[in-house]
Amino acid sequence: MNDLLEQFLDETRELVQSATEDLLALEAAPGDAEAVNRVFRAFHTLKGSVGLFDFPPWFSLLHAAEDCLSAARAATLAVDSALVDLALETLDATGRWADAVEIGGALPETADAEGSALAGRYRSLLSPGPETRATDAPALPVWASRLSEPLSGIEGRPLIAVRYQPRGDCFFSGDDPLGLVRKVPGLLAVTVEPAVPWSPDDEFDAFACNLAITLVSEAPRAEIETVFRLVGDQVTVVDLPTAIYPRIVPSGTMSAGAPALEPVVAAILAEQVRVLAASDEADTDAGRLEACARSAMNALRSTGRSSAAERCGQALGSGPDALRAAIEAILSNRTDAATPTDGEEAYGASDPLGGDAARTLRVDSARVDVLVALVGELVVARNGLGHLAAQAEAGEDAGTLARAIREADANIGRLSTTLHRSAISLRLTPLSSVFRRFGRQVRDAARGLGKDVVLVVEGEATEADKGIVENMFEPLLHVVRNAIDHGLEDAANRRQVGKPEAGRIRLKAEQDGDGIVVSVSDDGRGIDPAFIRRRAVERGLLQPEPVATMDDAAVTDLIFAPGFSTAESVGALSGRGVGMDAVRAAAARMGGRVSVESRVGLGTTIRLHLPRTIALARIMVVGAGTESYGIAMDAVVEVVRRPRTCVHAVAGGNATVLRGRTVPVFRLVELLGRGDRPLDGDDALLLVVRVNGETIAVEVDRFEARIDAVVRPPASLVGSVAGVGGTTMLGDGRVLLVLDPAGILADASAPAGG
Amino acid sequence: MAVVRRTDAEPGTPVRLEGVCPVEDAETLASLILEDPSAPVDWTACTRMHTAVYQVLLRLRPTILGTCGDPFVGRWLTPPSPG
Repeated sequence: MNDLLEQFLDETRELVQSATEDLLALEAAPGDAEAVNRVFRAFHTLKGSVGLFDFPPWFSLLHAAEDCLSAARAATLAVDSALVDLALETLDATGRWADAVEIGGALPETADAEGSALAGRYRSLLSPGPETRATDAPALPVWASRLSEPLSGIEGRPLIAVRYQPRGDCFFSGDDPLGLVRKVPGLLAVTVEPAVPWSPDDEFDAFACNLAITLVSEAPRAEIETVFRLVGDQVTVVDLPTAIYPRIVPSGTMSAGAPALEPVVAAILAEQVRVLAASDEADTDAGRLEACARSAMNALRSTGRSSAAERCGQALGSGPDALRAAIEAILSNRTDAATPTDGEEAYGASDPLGGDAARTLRVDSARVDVLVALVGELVVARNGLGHLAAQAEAGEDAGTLARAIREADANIGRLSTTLHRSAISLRLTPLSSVFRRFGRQVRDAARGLGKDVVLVVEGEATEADKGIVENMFEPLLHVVRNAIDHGLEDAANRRQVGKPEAGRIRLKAEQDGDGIVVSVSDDGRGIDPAFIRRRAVERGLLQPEPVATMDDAAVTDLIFAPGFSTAESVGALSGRGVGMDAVRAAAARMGGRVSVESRVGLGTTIRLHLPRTIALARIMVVGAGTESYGIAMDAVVEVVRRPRTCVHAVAGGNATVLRGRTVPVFRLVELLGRGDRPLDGDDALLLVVRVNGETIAVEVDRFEARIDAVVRPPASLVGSVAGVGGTTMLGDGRVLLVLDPAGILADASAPAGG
Repeated sequence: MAVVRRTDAEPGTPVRLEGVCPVEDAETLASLILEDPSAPVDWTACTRMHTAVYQVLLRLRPTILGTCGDPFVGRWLTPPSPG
């Protein structure tokens, strides 16, 4: 994939995101002119970017959307849920098409049909609009529609207007004024008018030229001047900078129904104003006046603005000033209506993304500075080693040398740890990038279920590793949908129990030691442990007796058990064959866990405890049989050596008493299926770990070492092995499998749970 | 010469512009239109129109038939409306 396309896709996704947010804001506050502007700009930019590539259905869809939003911006089209929905659907399609382009380099086959269906809906929004197409459009002659043909895609470019009034005797000198005009590059419009009105009494002289030609071109001024170099005395060339037309330039150029003035019409009008302004009242002869009026009227009529043209016609009778005022009014009406807040801002904002667009990886420069400083220190520390070597060569005594080396080692160790931490922090991303996607999701989910939901987001500035943040969305989305679908009661029920009709979903992130906790809370009906007990037994997950003795928290936790679904019926939203067990699995994949807290009638909170970074983990290397495995130290509560006589065989396994509590004991070799080797030694080496709230002892054969290591998440083949939390490299180059105690004990712990 | 009208034409028979219509055609066209102001002008066969010819149409405003065969005129210029 080339860079341009890649950048395009990135930008497209960002724009889709920001436009989605603005649309939601707009839906909440339909009068927010700034939000309309932002949405318009996003679509405008999207259209422009798509136009760089060859995706015709995409382009025309965005074009139609832009036309509608342009009307909304000019306040001639109401911003209602129909428009917002349509725009959101367009963004959805845009997102999907961007994905398709990324994967296959082409739009999906359905894009054509889908695009034109959506574009049709945009048009139907516009059609009952202000300048009724129904009546004006048929009257539009062929030439007028041709006039607008070359106008697509000219936005943003400066235009040149030329007024060419050939001398009366030019035909005798062999001139063909229109012949010159034919050579003008980048022509956008031409009008030919009598320079002086013909009086019916005059004798007609076919060879006296009495014409004024006005044209608009998008070509560079120099090229246009070259064409007219031989008749320079008869030509006036003026720039029509885009800045004069903040509203006009980005308008939908193809749609006769759109309220915005087409650039060319605006240019023609502006030119008439200029001509009128340039001449003194006294010498503004009637001919010039009429020519100006006719030019303006023709231009306006050509795009179906007969009423505006009529106004010019009336003003013509009242003299040049009235005409000029009338034309200016038509021009400025447009600009005023289009930029209700700030004329410069509306189109002057050259960066449509604003300053805070999310880049692939945005890094605070301060963090880079820290990194640079640390690398500098590391270089200094390394120089110290050279010094040490020199000392050793000079025969420094071993004790002193050893001390110095240890010092250098500690120093470099400190630096490398800090360096690692700083480097890791480069990857820290605020959770807002995930949280902001939920506005849309919650809205759609709530709407789909006919519920009214308020989303509250807290702590979105909390940071975590990019990989964590990116992987968080799916499980979180599932939890949120569950909360809306199953957690929140419907409005009638909520009224009955005295809650506000609108349910509340709170999405919150916070630091928790080295990790982060992302929680989803609802103020719904809560999880009824009695119901869970019943369901667990019905589903055959547990036997009735142990369920009866489990405490409520443990029972509630069963919602994460595979095969458990709390919904009475399969909901459209969350009943997609993915249970909460998928959430638990996803959290575990990220090296985290999930927990639930619920109060009947008050609501449920589901927390994802996730690591903040993929950091250096303290690993304990233990031996099982002939092999070594790593276990993350944070899972290990303590390491104890117990006389084997204290490990008793009990029903279903072994157990020992630790600090007055009975703790189940499992042998690591057995858990790993390495066969039942005879026990050796008098003492059992026990690794006491906490798994899902339970304390369990794992007997290992040896303790080998404690190391700091970067644990890589399990990938490909290893990833599918239960109980493997990741891999890391040992100092001697061996690969160490780092075990996930929860994973390997998943089956074993169940019987011990009672 | 590319301004054509049958000499025995009934009033109202179209004047046809054909092929390249140079500056000289302006006078011919003007006189034909002045002779029979009701005659429409068919410019569909005109492949290139001189400014002077266009000016005649603009000044005398006959009824114009069809779209001008001169691509430049057809595309850019307003057909003078009958006046």
